Amino acid sequence: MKSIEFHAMGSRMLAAIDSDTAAAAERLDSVPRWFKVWESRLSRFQPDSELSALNRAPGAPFPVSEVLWDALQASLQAVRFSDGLVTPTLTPWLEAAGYDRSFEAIGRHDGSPALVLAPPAHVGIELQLEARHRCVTLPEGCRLDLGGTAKGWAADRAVHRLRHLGPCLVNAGGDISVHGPRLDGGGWAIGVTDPFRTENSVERLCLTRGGVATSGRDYHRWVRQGAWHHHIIDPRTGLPASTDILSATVIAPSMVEAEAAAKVALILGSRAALAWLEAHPPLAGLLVLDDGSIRRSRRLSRHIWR
Amino acid sequence: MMTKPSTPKRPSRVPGAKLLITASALAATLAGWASLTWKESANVAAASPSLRSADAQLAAAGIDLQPLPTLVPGSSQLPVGVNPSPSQGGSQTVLRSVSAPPAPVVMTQSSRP
Repeated sequence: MKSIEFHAMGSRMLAAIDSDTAAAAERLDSVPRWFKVWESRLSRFQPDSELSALNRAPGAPFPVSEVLWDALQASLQAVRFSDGLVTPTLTPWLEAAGYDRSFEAIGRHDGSPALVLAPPAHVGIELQLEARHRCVTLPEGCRLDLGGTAKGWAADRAVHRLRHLGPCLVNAGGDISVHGPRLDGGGWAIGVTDPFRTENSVERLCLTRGGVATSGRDYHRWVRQGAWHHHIIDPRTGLPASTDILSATVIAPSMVEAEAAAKVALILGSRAALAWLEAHPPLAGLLVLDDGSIRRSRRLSRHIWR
Repeated sequence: MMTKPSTPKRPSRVPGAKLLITASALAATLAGWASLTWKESANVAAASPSLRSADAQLAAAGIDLQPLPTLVPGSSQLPVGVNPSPSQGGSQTVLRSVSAPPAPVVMTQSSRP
């Protein structure tokens, strides 16, 4: 197996192909460059990114690149899939919670005053998209954050570009996209990190295709005005989600769906999340609660390494 | 009329005669047993050369018969105050070998640098 590790989109990345050919190694060398291009288009923390330019131009049609267009389509797919619980239009509420710069820049303590905004009015469907010229029109006051969806989209895209060389996997900061069983016929062994003791895993999964993503408030959190805040905003309130789930891991047919579903589970809380996962047959999930207990959806047993 | 004269009982003149007869009978019995025992030993001794010959024939044919196993029962005594464990029940525990799961290729976690 050949693999390459690099840093992009604020996270550690890994791309691997289960092949020892020179072509596989050569192709893997290109992966960091792909992510660099995607990040330059999709980051809201880079002032010169294409997304930042779009956010500065609401109210008028804005022609976008194929990369931003495709990532926006994936983001709107997540909106529909999650009934609006996952949406790219929450940037003002993320900033109000304190996530107004990259997490490395925030640190654990933020001295800014706490801001409370009214619940958001936009959940993504108000965007005007014109496919013929790939033009996007943002409503006034709307700014986009593609966040985890962009990472999931990038992981799926990278796997799509690698898969003709053999079974492959891309890990984008803990969100993992997989194509094909390994050469020995088995699946890819993927551990689920214990959020209380990150050197341990709470489960070992076996995947042959699709994606697995974990959303949590165990790492991306900070103290503002004496209270913990995190980056998963509940669009029904405009505030960081109030939930009993510390981290939610979901397996889905695609990385974009897995990433969105993990966020939905975390926002809903354990009871409603399990019911939601059971009602969506392709999904399987594992929830680690604040009290340390673990909840598994019924279909997760299909993906546990035996 | 003639009457048969009564013969008076003859008094025993040899008091050790009965004892002599008993001792003689006992000696004859013992002598017979001894004779029979000697004949069986002689028969076994006569057969032994043929058994040794059969062993030699098996060895020549390449057949090496192993000695029959001797079963030695294990001690069933336990020290006082010690509860028996399954492995002390006389039967050996058979462990099934299983392959360990592979180390994860990657870990899923909430995104971090």
